[in-house]
Amino acid sequence: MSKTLRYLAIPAFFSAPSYVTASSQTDFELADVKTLFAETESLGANIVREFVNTFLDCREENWDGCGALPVSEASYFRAKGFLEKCIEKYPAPMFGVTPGGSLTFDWFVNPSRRLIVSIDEDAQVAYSSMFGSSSVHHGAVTYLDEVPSIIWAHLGALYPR
Amino acid sequence: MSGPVEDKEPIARFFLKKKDLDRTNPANPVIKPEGFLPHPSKSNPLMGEASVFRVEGMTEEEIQLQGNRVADEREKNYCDKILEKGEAYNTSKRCFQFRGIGLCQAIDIRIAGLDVVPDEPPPRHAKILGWIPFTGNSRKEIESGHLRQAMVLVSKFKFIPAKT
Repeated sequence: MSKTLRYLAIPAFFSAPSYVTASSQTDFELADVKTLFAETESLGANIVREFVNTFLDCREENWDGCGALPVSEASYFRAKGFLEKCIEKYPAPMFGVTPGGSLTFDWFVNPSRRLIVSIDEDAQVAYSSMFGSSSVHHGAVTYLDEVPSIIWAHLGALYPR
Repeated sequence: MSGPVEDKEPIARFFLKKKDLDRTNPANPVIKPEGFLPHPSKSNPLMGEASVFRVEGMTEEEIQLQGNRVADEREKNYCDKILEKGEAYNTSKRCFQFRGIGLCQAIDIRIAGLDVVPDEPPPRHAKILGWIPFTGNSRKEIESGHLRQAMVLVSKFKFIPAKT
């Protein structure tokens, strides 16, 4: 029997989708973890091993000790698909997680030139970019199968050819 | 230190998770904005806040000690919650460890469009406010706004590694 997460009293932003349950997180068995690691070989082991580790470190609720939501398996697979497309053309990003349970990709050139994309089960991805202190952008765009053109544009601006 | 936070006051954020930093270049670790993203305030869950400390008049050694105390307290709270759930706590592997300090002046936070206000106890604790509320837009729109705010904020912080 599944148990729903205990986030009912806080805003919708921090609420887990109804189909993400505590049991689905805890039932993520070792065999699945091994599969995830096996997949790293096809993507560039070092890069994606770090990505997988980021996910594994944050798949339980309260991973930050302050009540953060877990990263779901669905978010992991969606983010992985996004990452695969991006690293075909651009350097590997740094990986992170938000308190709301989204995985993040951070393409960092220096503290005032970077792009962060946040992705989870939502149809939209969030992004924020900085090209000097006076040129900061952010927004949310739909991501289905194709990386949104605005993300390509910002990556292109960060890493001009 | 419960009075208003002055613009020139030094403000510290303690990094307790490995993922708060990127150490690809060990000589120059990168602070990740995700480590600054707000959590819902206990008094008003629609508003966000991020925890910092006021370190005016403290030596670097004292700030380092404070960072270790914060890490110990976070680990203890985490352990208590694990045990409350009836799960096993692995004593040989800490989840929270003091890894370094992000340091800036209060005015840097204000220039970034946020604010810092006292929030004791514990002594010297303060919180960063002014985050986009957790309401009124889609989850991802809100999150993108927070990423923007954190990205600008992080660009103001100087990193000091934890002394082992």
